[in-house]
Amino acid sequence: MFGLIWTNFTRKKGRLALTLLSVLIAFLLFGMLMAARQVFNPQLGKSDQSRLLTVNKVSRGAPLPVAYAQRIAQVPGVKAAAYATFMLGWYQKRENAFAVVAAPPEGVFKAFPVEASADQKKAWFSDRDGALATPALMKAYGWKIGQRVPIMSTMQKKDGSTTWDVTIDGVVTNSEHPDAKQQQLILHYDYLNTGRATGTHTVAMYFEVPDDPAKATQVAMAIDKLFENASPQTSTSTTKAVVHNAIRQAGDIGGIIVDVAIAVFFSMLLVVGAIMFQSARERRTEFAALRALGFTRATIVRMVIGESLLTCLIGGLIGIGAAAALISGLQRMLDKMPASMDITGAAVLISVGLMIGFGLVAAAAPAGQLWRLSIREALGRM
Amino acid sequence: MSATEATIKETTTTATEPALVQLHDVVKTYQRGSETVQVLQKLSLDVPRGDFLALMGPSGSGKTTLMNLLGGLDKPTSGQVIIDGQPIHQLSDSALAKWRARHVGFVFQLYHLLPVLNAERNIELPLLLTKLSHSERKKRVAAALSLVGLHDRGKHKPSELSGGQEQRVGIARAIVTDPTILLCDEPTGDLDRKAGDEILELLQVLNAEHGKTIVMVTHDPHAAACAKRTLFMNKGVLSEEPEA
Repeated sequence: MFGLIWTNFTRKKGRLALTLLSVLIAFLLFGMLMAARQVFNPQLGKSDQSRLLTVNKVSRGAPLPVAYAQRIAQVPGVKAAAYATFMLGWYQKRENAFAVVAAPPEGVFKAFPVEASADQKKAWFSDRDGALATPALMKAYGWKIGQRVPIMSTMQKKDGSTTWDVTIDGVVTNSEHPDAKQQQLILHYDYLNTGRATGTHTVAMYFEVPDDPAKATQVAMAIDKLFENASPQTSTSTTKAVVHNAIRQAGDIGGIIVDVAIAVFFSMLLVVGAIMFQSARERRTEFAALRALGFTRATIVRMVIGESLLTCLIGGLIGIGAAAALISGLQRMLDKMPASMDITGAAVLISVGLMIGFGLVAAAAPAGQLWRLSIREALGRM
Repeated sequence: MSATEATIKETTTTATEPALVQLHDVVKTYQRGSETVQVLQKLSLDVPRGDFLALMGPSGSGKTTLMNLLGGLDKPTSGQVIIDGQPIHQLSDSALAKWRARHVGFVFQLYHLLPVLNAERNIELPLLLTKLSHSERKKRVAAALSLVGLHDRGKHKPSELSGGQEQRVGIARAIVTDPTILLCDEPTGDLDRKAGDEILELLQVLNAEHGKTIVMVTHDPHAAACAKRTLFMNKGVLSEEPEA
């Protein structure tokens, strides 16, 4: 029986090619969407839900004095605190750009969800111009532990140079996102602070870990109250809120793209449904003859559903495969970005479910039509 | 028996061997808008096993309706249709389909072959509904093709065959399951005289040498003359003589 279904499926090559192309494009789009969702909806780690972030109240980009550190650490409810300042760095050429974070070594492992081996941590702690690099950064430029690397940046040093020489003391991984592909370099705050020409004794932001995550909001209010009458004032909120805020704009754009893509996706599947309907309609006499030969209504309906499923599964799987290949290419470009795109196993399962679902939906109308088919009327004479 | 009784009984039917086809007081009506049209009027008919019966009559006389009832494609409004002891008027739609697959071979005027399948695969279609193995199906298809004289045309698609050859493939498809009865609807209606004669000759062979019971609808007296007997249908009533 499968042979009969396959023969009918391939009977009109041109129409089959166009139908498969429609399904292919629909699922290529769907695969891209599923991957893009990860960019617009990054997964937050557990600590992001409660970790606090303190920035300049007037302007998020404006610096805060490093002198606030001691006072923040003494706020009741603060278990650990750290600060950091950032710059854009690159290796050898401007295209090889990555984020450089300068933070006090003792605070890095308390306030951030990062890990490094004990001996590498120890080496870095005692090496003022040492650095920790993420695995993606190490891999990208083939760096080795102990290697001396010149990092170029936009931040000028007191001697007028913009090159910061550092020793790679270890590899730092994100404990909550072990597969993260960010390229980051962590330096001693002191090394950057004493070397830079401007902005000394300032930080970009503070990070605090509250004793009790449930009381994060109260702790945030206490920190801001502490600097209520200071200049500059601070604004403290959970990392989750900050991240959500930051991605909201991107999310809005992503939402529009997703909506449009979904509309296109369904339109293409409607086209497939219409083609299936037309195809079954053209073969009414053939189906009536098969009924006369003894094929039951259920068998005829199964044949039509089989053709529809073949269309959606073959076109859809090629589409998802094409999306995976395309994303694999894009991924190489996205390696330096904080978000990663990927077609997960769950996305493939959802896609296959959709293919089967749409196969059944597309077959519903022609199957209904053939279920009601009158042999007598379809054959005219017997 | 008179035409007004609308009852035709084959004289050779005996009490010990019931007729293969038995129709008792069959009425068939259709609704056309608000009008009820009675197509068959308390029709009774016996067709013994091994018979070759031709049904003639003008268009709209009820011949095709009668064939539809014999083939289980339609059900009577009242009365009984019994084929080989099975009261098929009582069967459900699904059971009727299965019954057709096992007991009826249809030969259509317009052949109704699937254009995408070659002759062998068209003939194989009814066998797909059986539990026969692939090799067994191939054997049966080859035997049917050989019987209709097309053993060298098995790989040809319908578009590569003449009308007469297409009808032979249609006949091979009808007999491949060794059905109880062959129902032929104007089997020569779309063919020239020579091809038509060959088809009629083939039907005679199937009847005479293979014992197939055949009921054939035709407008052509020449075709009807090839049958063992002819009945005439007029306004839903069967008779042994054409209406004057």
